[in-house]
Amino acid sequence: MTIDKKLNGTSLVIALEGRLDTMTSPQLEEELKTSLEGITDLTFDFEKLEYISSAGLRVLLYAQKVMNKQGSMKVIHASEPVLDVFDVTGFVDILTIE
Amino acid sequence: MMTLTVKAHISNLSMVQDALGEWLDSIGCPMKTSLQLQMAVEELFVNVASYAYGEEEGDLTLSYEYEEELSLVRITFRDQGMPFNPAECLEQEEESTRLHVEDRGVGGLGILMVYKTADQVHYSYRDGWNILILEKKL
Repeated sequence: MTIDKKLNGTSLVIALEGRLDTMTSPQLEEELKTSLEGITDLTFDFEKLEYISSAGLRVLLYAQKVMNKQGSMKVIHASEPVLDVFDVTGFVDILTIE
Repeated sequence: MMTLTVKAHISNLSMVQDALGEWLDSIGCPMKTSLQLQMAVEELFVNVASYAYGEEEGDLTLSYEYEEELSLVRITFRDQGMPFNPAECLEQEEESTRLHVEDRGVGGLGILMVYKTADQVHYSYRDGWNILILEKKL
């Protein structure tokens, strides 16, 4: 998985490419732990994310909880397989998906 | 049919996933279904690797079968760890999907994802073996 971050003031866009799974989720979690301070507007661009498992969902849940305290978060360009996972796990009700 | 026996350790997940992906390609499985099956196998593999043998080492055997006349993929997990019937976690995981974000824990959704993805999930415990069978039509 590759993580591409674009910071603009207090807005951060994180684009992921590849697989967000048991092996790669810790990498994203580490990145978030050092990147979210002062951020008020977080966007995950999942256009090139082909796969997500429950380990990836846990990291998104962590990010959502942080952003609920300090701003807002949304997910854009999620593919059908990723949207299916959000759907069956009830994450469609937790995340803002555009 | 393809059979793979590995140590039930998280470090073997990539190998298991790669082997599954290649096998699914070889039977002409569509990409969407392939990703769903890889996700289900990841969730179950991680469960066995995390809990089945506690601190001990143990094996996990995976079998992949394709019944062409039915367009049916059957994936079987066998391990000799603690008895674990995933159906017993299902209700709890379903309940957690109805919780508010702040009340959701880091706990599992993996089993729920497996049940929602597969057409059939069958579990049995026989002679010290956990046997879990997933079936999905292509």
